Amino acid sequence: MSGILIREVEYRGETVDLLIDHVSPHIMHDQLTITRVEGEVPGDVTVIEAKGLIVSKGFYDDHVHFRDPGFTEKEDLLTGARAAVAGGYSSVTCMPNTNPVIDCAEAVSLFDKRWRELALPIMVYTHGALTVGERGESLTNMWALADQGVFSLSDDGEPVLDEQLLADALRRTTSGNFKTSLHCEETPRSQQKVREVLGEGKPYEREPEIIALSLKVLADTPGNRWLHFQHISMQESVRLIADAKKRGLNVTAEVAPHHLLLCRDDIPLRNGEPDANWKMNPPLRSREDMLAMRRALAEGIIDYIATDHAPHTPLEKARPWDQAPFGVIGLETAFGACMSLVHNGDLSFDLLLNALEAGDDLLEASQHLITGVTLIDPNHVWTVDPDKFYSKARNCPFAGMTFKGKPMYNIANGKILMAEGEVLF
Amino acid sequence: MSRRSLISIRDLSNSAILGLFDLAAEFAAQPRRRLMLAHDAVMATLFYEPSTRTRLSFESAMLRLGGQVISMADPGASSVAKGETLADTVRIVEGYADIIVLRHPREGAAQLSADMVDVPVINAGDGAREHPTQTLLDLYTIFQEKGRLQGVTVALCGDLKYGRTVHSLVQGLARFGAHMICVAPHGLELPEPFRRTLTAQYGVDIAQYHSLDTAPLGGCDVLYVTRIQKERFADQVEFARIRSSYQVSRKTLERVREDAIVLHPLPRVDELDYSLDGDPRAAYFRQAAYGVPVRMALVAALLGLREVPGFQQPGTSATPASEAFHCPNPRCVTQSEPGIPARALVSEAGNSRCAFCDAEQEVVCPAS
Repeated sequence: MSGILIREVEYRGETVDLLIDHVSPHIMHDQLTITRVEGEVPGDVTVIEAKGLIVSKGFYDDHVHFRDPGFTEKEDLLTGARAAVAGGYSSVTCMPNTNPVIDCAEAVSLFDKRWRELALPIMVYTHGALTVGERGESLTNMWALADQGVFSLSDDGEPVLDEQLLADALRRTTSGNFKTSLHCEETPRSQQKVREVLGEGKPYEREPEIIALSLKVLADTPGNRWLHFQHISMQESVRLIADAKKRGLNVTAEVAPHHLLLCRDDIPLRNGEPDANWKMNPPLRSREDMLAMRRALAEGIIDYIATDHAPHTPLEKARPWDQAPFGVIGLETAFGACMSLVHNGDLSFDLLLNALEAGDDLLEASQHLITGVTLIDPNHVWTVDPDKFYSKARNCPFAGMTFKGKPMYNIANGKILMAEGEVLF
Repeated sequence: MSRRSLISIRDLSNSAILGLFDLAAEFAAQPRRRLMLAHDAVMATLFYEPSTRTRLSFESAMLRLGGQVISMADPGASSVAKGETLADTVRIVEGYADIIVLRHPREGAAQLSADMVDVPVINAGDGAREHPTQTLLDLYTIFQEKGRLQGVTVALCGDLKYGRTVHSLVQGLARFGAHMICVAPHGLELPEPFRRTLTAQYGVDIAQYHSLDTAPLGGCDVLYVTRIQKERFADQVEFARIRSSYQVSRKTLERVREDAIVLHPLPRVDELDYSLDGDPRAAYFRQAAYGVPVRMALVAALLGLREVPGFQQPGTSATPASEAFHCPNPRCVTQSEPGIPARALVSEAGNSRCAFCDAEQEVVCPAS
């Protein structure tokens, strides 16, 4: 197969024919070149009739949990990759809270080995842990991690409350390209420490205070280090981040689709108490918070969407609210859910694509290499049925909802990985 | 699984260790004589990491027992460079030798090898986990030079947090009822839970100090010195500042008793002043030399060439853990060797621990 021809697809309001070719740039994965075709169509190509579809770069999710190695009953790199492809993604980065934790060079090699063994057709990267074992005690060797290609650190799942530790971490990151990502939420394990460091407060509503503490450390650290805030959910957090950006601090933020679409009043009951498939950290917030997240994304205070795809086994999520683990999946519903915001006017389509890290410069540079291409049907109406998910998990709060808009084709690594909504590997 | 291997000092009971010491003393009494005890036997030394002195010590021990040695000392030049697994290598070497001595950078490598073959395997160091023959020769040195282990006071100085040698020795000393004085910089102390478990379990005193100047060295029978690696310190200025307080000099020795001994697992950098070498208390070269008779005794016992009372009883036995287990240690041998199913035992704390590398699984479910 020497190329894929996408006929009559919509790109920036125009209908075009695009030829996708794959190149092997001598690194781990084949990438694609994409060119506009005028006139003569080359023979020996696979044709996709894309009338009515919109073309986009493949989406990127900076925050997923594929539970591999160590918790593969919930998800593994293969099923996670399938879920990502189904959602229109062509690359994702996993959080390091696996078993073993990805906190040293050997663990990164382990992860890379898994990726290679499974011959995954999309790029699945990993963040490195900020502290050894994510225990919050001693910093990992970030230069060893950088040698393995890891430039982003996070102790996702636990907040960093030790100012000295955070300051040391930031000082050690050698440039603005090294990202420190923070999970600024209270957790069961950190409840006591939160009280010690921040005093008393409303449980699980400490996000703005923890963000403020982190911003203070960042402001005191010379050298324009990069701090990223994960899954923002409260309006006060948005205010702090907007202010930090205005002050010139190198700060970015992400939001999850569930915090854009749902609020705590929406949580249904199951057997008389809240349905644990709607339980995550940070939890669903007030309606005002939800609307504030939409505005913040529209205004660019929040930089991108990240699903925090957090699979758990159906058995675990069937437990009563207090006993069930935190987390909901989101790769297969992210686009459909967020299209609701486009349909109701809160967000422009272009902005949504930008937020899914699939910005519009698909055809810009002639030698532009891209990871993948997604073809979207903006009018496809579908109902979310978790039993049809490619993920092993089913813990999705959007179950039963109807969305308009779905990725139908996903092309990466020179191959069509999904056609007509069906994943092909 | 071989009839007997030495993977950990835990594999030997106290009486087995004392039995080995008796046999070692017998061999040490005629140090330059070549015996014919092992004349039919071949030892294979498989060193995936260089450690010339340990390897030479084992090889000398085998030769003095009258045995022969074949060795792999350079993994770069061998099939290992072609990607052959450890499991395959030991199964092949099993056909060439009667006893295998293994040094490997991954924790659990020795246990894995012992599971794979029917000949005895001696762990000469597996990653950061353990180096049991070093512990044996350290204990033997003290036993030989002081006449006993029970009630002896040992001062341990240097990196007591990361030193693999130290943890094994401290455990061995506690088992035999020796008291300890620990001297380490802030941040490199003997881990407190470890110290507490030992004092509770064996009823010995283990005191912590942060400076050689303040530690009561006058009461110790043995001063065991270890190196502090500069790589442990992010701040090299800090390292330079504190290292002098952990260097043993002539002045330090003035406070130590005349009948005490100074030990060091070697190699030394500058924590033991060269001017001390002439002092009769400096026993570190004798300590290294004792490695040969101790290893001779161990090999003789493992090959069944000499009866060592108590040797056949296991030191400790552990119950297998029943739940599914994923080893949390990225440097465990199970992560790099294909086709090794994870195996867990129940640890003393009641958690599951990896049967190969001892890593304990604490976290059950990710926090989000």
